[in-house]
Amino acid sequence: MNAAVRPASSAPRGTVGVGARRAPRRLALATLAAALAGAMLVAIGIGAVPIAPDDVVRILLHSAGLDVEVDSQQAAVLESIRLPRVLLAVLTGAGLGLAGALMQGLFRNPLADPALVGVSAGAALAASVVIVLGAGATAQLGSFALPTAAFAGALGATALVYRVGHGGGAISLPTMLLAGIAVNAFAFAGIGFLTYVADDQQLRDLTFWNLGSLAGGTWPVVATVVPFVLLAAGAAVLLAQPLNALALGEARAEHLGVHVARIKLGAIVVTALAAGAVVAVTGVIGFVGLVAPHLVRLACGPDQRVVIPGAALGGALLVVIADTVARTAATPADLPLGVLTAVFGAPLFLALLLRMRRRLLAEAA
Amino acid sequence: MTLAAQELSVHAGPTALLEHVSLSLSPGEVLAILGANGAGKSTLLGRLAGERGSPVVRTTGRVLLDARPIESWRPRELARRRAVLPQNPSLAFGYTALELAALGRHASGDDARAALAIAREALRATDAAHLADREVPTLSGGERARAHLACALAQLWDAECDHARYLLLDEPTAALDLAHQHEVLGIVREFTRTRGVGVVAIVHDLNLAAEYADRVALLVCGRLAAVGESTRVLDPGNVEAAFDVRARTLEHPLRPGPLIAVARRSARGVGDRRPPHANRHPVSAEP
Amino acid sequence: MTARITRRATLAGVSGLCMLAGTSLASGALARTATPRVISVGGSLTEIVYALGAGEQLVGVDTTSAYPEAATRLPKVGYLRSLSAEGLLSLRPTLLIAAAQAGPPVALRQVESAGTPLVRGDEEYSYAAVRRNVATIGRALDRDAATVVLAARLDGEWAAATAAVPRTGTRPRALFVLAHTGANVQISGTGTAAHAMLELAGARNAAEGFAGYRPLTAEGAVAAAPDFIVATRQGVEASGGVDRLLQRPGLALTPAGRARRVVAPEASFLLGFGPRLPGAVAELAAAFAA
Repeated sequence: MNAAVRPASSAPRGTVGVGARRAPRRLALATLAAALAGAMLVAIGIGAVPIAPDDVVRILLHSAGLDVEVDSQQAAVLESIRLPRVLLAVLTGAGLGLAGALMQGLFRNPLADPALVGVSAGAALAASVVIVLGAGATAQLGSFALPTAAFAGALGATALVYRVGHGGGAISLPTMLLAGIAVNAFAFAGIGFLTYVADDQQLRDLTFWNLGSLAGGTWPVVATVVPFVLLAAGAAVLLAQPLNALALGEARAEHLGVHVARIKLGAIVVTALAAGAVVAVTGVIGFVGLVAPHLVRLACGPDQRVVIPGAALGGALLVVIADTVARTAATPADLPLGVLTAVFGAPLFLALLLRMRRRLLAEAA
Repeated sequence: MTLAAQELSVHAGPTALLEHVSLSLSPGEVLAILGANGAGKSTLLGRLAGERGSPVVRTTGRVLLDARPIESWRPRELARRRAVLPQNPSLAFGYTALELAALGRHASGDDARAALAIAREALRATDAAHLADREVPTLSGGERARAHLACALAQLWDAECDHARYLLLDEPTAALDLAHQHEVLGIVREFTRTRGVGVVAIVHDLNLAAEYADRVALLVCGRLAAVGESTRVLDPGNVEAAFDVRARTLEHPLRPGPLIAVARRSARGVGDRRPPHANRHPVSAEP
Repeated sequence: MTARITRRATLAGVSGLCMLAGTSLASGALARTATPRVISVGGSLTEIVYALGAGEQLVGVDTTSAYPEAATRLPKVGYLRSLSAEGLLSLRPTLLIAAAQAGPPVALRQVESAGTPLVRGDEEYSYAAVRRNVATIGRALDRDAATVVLAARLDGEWAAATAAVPRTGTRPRALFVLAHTGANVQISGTGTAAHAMLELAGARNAAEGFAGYRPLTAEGAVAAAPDFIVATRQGVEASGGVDRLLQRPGLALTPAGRARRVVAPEASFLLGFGPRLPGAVAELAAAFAA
């Protein structure tokens, strides 16, 4: 237009240097993917049982059907313990990361995570019921009783939160938030009661479940979780652009042509499926859902088309690293994974926050 | 092809927010909505935008977009036909101005590259091209307003289009300095001329409205007091009734047309020949 | 002498053959034929391994294995409910002995499917279960002679211990108090190791009408009216001594509290249900008789 005659603010104060410094998206995602691949290789390569790198390669070739000589016990460790466990770590991190990204986008709040809509509380309550009172269920369903109940608990709690927040054809996010707080409080009261009546051994089981572990990582478990995480990842990609519009608020997103009610329901269902399926088999693993989307947003900006896949990759990377340490730091015992994700995630997060604050201060100056 | 309100009434409990408002807008014209605070301007704009409003209000009457009830349009189809700039647009997270403007292309079916290209043009149109890579939360109020306007313009940007389009603006000039107020309304008017977009804008400055609008609508306590050419609607009597002020029209010294001069009702100035018409204005708050 | 030499020669011949058969065999398989490497998960099972004289075969134990003292110097495979399959396998075990409550089940299955034999203990709180565990472990360790000797010794001790428990007269009421964390005190109802110990030692469990553990309440303690309070040494230490333990609301008002009748053996000795069971029963019965 007539920019030439504009006097005051047309001075190009933002042309160089002050613009948001961001990593190019494709490069950032490619870097994350490469880092994840590297971390997976390392994770497969190290463990309590020493297996030399060339033996690892040989065993992998062997299991791919090549006629290579391998040590059968090493092969058993690698194929039936480490590989499924590393894959479960990837699925866990990816599921939690993308669920976190969806929740933060939906609630337009960087502090949101799947726990907000009751996913973890519901799963934890159901798991506690099975641990403390569920001798019968365990007898019926064996080792599937706990994850099945936890998954049902996650979905049930989320459905309840959604039901309360849903009225008159619209979903009120603030109501959902409050309902989430109430459901969380109720679940923790229930867990508290179960803790009260639990015996010593059940108490230890409760504690370990709440600290999370990938020790349950077997091929059948991986095969069960894969479809949920893949489905969630596919749906999350479709939700990315509508969630970007939702950053403008619900009314404005509607103006832009977003079917807001559908997007909200979609984001909640995908979160419950992904996080619920993961939490059901691993127990509560904190911080990944919160920190992974954050890291991507700080590095690449808030575009959900980058944040969602980035949070999935970054979450997977974080969990693979944390679980590798959990497996190897105190051999022959395992450390609780939930502790390590927080131990790694929290300082990383703080460092990035400090850097971001410095940048914001510099921009304000 | 019009965007029309027919006998539109909105009640919140016993309180009438809008009463029997009928109004229509054609592509290519600028309609300014004027009125005091609480006169129902934003409610009217929201209904014209197709918003259902809060569950506690009751709406009767209809809003038709191209002869179809607006609520029967699918969100995406509707978004290709009308864009809205709310009064206080908010944005979560640190999207850049360019990313914000590109969000306007959500319903267009553009790929990312095409959307960004149009977003850049829209930013240029609102004199915000240099802000493209800045994060919106770091912008000043006026800069932010222009970035959000660019988003709304981008939504209706297509040069060729086989259907009518409408742009609804709730106080687009509120955060802007004088020069930018004129510039933004100039852009908007040009948009109506070049792209055949119909514009409804809530404006507080009577002279801005008179200068840039083809027609003005005056809302008083939820009722449409007058609608038509600004010279006819904005006569001193209507202005005094609607805004509870004293008003006179003079000849504008800088451009053709009248200048509406306004002063506080209690302030008695020189040459004031009109006594206050306490019984004429419906929002009498003065003792 | 001759026989021994012959056997050694045979062994050498066999291992030589194994080496010849050799390089293609798994190193784990080789280790299996060489020295046994045993992991024991569960305190009482570890005690049985030592009692059978096979302590030097142990390469790892869980965190509940605290007796004998030699066990505490072995690599720890973690808490018995949260074992790591690869951690266990990294010790290249030729045998895994695991208590009934050891887990998670996935880890045990993985160890088993990697070729390590798994032997499970019996978790019943009875002397018969101790004898069954001795037999199971003795068989798994291939220690027939030692098993016979240990079983005979235990049977003798058990007979002596139970003979000392009075069969007639009113049984004293005893309340077991678990106070490992100091702040939270629990009492044990039916189905617990403590309940079984109290009954075996000739007392009646004063905590009646419920199964498992429950928090101690002041009125509950008074109503239970125990003649003896049974605790563990660790629990008394965590509480800050017998006096402090008796200051808990209610406890001082019980017959046991007034007479300061507190018995507090070491926890694994009292509740372990291992080879020290006869000794524990005898000690407890003696305390009740005093």
